[in-house]
Amino acid sequence: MERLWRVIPVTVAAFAAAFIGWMIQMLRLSWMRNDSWGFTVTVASVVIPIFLVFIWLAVYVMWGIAREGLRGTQPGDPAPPGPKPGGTA
Amino acid sequence: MARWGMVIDLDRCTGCQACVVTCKAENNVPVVTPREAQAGRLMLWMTVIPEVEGEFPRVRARFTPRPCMQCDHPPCVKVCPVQAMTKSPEGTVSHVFARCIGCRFCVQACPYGVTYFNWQAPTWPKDLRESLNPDFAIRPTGVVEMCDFCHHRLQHAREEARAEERDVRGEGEYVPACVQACPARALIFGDLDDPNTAASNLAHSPRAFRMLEDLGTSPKVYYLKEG
Amino acid sequence: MQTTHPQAFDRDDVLFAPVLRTGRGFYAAVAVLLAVAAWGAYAYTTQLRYGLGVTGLNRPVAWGFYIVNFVFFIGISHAGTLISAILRLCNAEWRRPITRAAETITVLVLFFGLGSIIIDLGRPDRLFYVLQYGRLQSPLLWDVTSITTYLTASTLYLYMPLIPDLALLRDRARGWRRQLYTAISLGWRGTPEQHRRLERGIAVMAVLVIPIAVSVHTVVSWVFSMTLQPMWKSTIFGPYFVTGAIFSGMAALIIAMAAVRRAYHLENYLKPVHFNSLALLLLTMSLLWFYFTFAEHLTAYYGGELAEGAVLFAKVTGPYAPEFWAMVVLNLVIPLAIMANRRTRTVAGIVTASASVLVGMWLERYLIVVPTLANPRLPYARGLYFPTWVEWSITAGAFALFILLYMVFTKLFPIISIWEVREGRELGIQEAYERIESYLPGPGVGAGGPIALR
Repeated sequence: MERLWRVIPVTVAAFAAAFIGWMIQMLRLSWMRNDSWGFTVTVASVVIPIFLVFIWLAVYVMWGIAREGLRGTQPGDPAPPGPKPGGTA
Repeated sequence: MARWGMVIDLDRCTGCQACVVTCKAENNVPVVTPREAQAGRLMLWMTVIPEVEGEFPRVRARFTPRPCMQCDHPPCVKVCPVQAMTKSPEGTVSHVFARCIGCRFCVQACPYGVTYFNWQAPTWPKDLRESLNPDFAIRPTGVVEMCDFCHHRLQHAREEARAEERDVRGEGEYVPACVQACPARALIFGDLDDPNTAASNLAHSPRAFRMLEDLGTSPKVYYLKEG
Repeated sequence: MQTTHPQAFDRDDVLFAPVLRTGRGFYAAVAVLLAVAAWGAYAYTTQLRYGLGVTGLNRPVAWGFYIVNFVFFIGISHAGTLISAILRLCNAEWRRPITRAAETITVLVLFFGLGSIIIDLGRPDRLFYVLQYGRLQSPLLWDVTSITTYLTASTLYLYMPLIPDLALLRDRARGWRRQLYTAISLGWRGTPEQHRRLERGIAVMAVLVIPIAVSVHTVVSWVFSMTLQPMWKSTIFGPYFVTGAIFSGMAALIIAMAAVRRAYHLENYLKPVHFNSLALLLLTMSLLWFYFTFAEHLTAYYGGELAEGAVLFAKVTGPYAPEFWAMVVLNLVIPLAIMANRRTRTVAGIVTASASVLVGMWLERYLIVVPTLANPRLPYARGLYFPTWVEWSITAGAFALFILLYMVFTKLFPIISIWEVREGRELGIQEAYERIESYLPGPGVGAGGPIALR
């Protein structure tokens, strides 16, 4: 179960990265076809920074919380509230 | 490069609808049942709009043939999310059926209402089914379609011209089916940028006007006012 | 702050109850909603098999119920995140028990907004082309972009404040639920470092989500106002749609709050004061909505342009007049009559007004989409629009499925943010006291004497 603590932030970051990739793909298409370049650049330059914030969120907030949580499951730490009372993590 | 355009002489149009029938046959436009037509699903890439003006005794009927206006600034091309609606370098607006996702945004965007949606799978009566035009694709259900100045005819003309190592002539060599069929010669087709064609001369005549010109769509279909 | 303090559990037991225990009434409601949703799904398979011909759409009305639902659902989504973010940023302490209910509406309803677009497509099998060949000149792609951004943002904004509650649940639940909550609570233990990171994340998202939410409904309006059609091509459509969206979203929030309050006995948490505060906001939005509607229709009337006039009179006196005047009554007269009067501004009254607003706002979306299409600029193709059973069924199914998902959510996660309520109890009162003190003359924060506040 603890493995999922890593999976969730990674999924969020991967989705955000994929979206940025899509924006770049549309920039590329627009450049290749010489089609609505202005619109594409405008939208992409607004959207890409927002998704960078989401990546920051996944890394700083979610990954950070999960790292703290994992630290709690190490032996020697105060008893974790998780399912394992003995602590053979 | 040629800029293909059409001039429609309203003085000559008799309202015979030969252009409408020819267009349906040439482009394999589906036939719908009368009930569907009543529900507003009739498909006519080229249509003749009858208008009755005035009151008795000063009444007069006017017929306005209406193909796609082939705008130089086509609103349908702007809004298409997948570039199914495209404008060729020669300025002809045509639609890639295989790309269309059926969102019908182009239908909303066109102020002339020339785009048609395939509400159901295309059908023809048996006799018509046997005489479909092999030069042009049949559209599946769920996509938009519209007049593209018989683009397949331009492709034929271009192939012949290329064999003779020249450009397609600005007049006579490539005409849409409706222009060819018009018995009153009310439809004139040609290169609008070539000053020697009848079409470009008539487009500059003082009688010439374009539909909803103030919208800024710059149609390449000109009408000649009744004299 | 100790979020896993065992003593504090008993006090908020009623908040855990819906998650840990389920009554028979719940299953009955689920069965009914599932049946309606299944019927809607059957209608959609019919549409998939025979094409959009089974709907009442035609030429010129090529957009109908699905697009109306799309605009309506996206509007409802503004309930949530936008309101909860604004209240959070304003330090409105009464927000604490309502933010979760609001954010949940947003996340769930956005799927139905996107779904409505997919249902409307003639070729849903080619949906992938939007990713492959998308071009950002089309306002439809602006929609795809901004709604995806909003969906991501509001999902994160729902999830982050949920983490401490998930940890609370993890410690109480048994069996598969314990596994689930352990997995998604990210090992939350309430350490200062975790709190610091979480609160920073929530603060950033609360700021970021507001412009995103505003942009979403603006872009939805641009789908219409970027065309040349009469009464669509309007510069105020952006703010007009955003206003309508917040208006309908708040109505939906009030109804959802009243429903969970009744079903889960949360009278002690969702008090009349919460409803009263929201009612006053709803009243403001009602007046603002009327202002925009009035301005929009007056300019069309006074200008007297032929094409716009045709649409306007179709709405005001023509075939759409019943819907139009019903909309005015439902959106303005009824809410105003109920909520401007302190005696009728009870929970029951506010819920009635909200229900009226929801119906009225759906009609408003309908009256924006259909009359313009029915009266295009060139008067050659005129038509009316009569939806068939397919559109009604799919619409009913979508609403049923939304309610169902909302109910399931309340069974999986606490619909009232437990840790935020506790935080309010433990820190909020003190903070509010000090904040008010800092507004008053005298030396800075916390140095106050015995100022009579209560």
